[in-house]
Amino acid sequence: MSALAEWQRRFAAALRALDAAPGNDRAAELGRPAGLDVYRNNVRQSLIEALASAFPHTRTLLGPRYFAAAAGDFARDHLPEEPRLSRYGAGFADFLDDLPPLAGHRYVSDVCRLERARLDVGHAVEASALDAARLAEPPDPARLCVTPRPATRRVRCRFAVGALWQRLERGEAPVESVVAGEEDWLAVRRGERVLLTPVDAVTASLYRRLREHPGAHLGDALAAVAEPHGETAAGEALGTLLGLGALCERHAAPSDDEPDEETAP
Amino acid sequence: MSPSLTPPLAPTAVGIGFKPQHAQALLAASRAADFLELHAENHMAAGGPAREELLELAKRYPLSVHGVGLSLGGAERPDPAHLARLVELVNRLSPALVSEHLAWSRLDGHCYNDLLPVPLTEESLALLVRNIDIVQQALGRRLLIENPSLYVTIPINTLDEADFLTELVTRTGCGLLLDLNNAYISAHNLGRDLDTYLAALPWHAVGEMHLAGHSLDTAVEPPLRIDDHGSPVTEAVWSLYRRWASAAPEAPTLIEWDTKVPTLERWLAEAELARTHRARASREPTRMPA
Repeated sequence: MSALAEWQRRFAAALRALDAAPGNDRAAELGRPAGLDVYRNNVRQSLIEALASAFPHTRTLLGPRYFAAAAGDFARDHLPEEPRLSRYGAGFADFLDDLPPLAGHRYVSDVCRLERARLDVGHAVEASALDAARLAEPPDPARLCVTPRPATRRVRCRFAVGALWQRLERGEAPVESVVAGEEDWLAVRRGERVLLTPVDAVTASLYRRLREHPGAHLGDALAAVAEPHGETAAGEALGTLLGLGALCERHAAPSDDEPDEETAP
Repeated sequence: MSPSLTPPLAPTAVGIGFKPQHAQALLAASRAADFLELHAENHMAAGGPAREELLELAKRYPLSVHGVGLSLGGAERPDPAHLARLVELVNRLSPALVSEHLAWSRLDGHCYNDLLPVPLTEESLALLVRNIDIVQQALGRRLLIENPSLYVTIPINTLDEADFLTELVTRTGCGLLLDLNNAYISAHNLGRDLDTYLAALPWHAVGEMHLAGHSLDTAVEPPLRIDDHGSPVTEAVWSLYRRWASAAPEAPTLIEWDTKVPTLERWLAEAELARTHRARASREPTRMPA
């Protein structure tokens, strides 16, 4: 290992320590502890601020002090893997799920996942939405390769957070009465806005099928969903996805380096 | 490479940083600032409205792309994926300037999201030369390297920072982004003689100057000056600018303001102040390097 790499590893270890530089016989090679504290604080504070910026509703629900403490703990154990801070915090909802003080408030993680999906969709690559009229054109529309647009995400919530989400969006004080109940949401970017919409289970199933089987024909995906749910429900699900602008033709979907879905464990 | 979008940048231009909250006002004005500087990592999204907005700004304003995440001073090579994103951004925007830092931030798969200090040794110099070469070849253009604001004197240093920067310029052909606020902060925090440091810099390579505000942390003894970009430029840094700006007559100046971001009008007023100071500097004797 190069001398530079070895020094940088010790410097990095000191940054990740809880407070002052580790007291060993080579700690002095890292420089003045008060100066080291500035770098440590810069790293920690910038990551807390990145999480606060990414998850404003989560911060509202937790309160600024608890949020900052939780974000600080997350940041210490989950450093970014790349320099784009807009990508940071992908695992924050899972982290909140494991915090014992939030055991009675697991809906907070659902809100956190919705915020993450909105952020990812906002930055995703563009692709033209599939128009329903395209399905009336030859050749056989069942043979079309259809996929979710890159600027879409499905989020599986474990609580009925719809009313809470709307209050948060309006800047109103959150209410505590959030009941358990699985809900699927789709985040879809339309123009400059990202719309978050609760969808029924069949629509979520078709979306998931199309996402997990890229290159498959639309007819095959509809048949797979129709088997448990019926052809009418599958057709309605397709109509919902088309209406939301959530689909595109496979050849029109550019590659995207965004994370996939935000699904609760 | 895409056709050039960005208008040309005048040598004595004074620019401001770009913040999304100012985008609409900047687009509505004909040319509110001489140029805009953006942090590369904030604009590497694959799509979305912010990307389109930036393209519109690029048609109206000369741009400077300022990277903070390449970790040029790290022991590792630049991350190929991140470098590819920077190349895509630069090709898309055709900025007038592209710059990075004498710093490191990435190690063993983790990013530390700060500009960490580089030990000034022959090994660091060789690795920085290698990394800057990689980036300049990928970009097909000259990179400006910014002098750091420092909070620690690294005991294993064997080289002086001005000599280190001069060697970097000589070996790579890169330019220097001289941040006078950083120079002032480092001189205070490290007990360095500021005029000696400035006089030893490779002024012929200075392609841009940065000015910014900083704060003083008096909770530690001795106090540390903190590079927080959260206030107007201090009188001490204006004084440096007046004395030294003429030594780099071709270098545009940027006013940085990254925390407690002011209104666009206030920021532009600070840029106007820089023009005034620069005009005064041109009428006063220049502290040229020895």
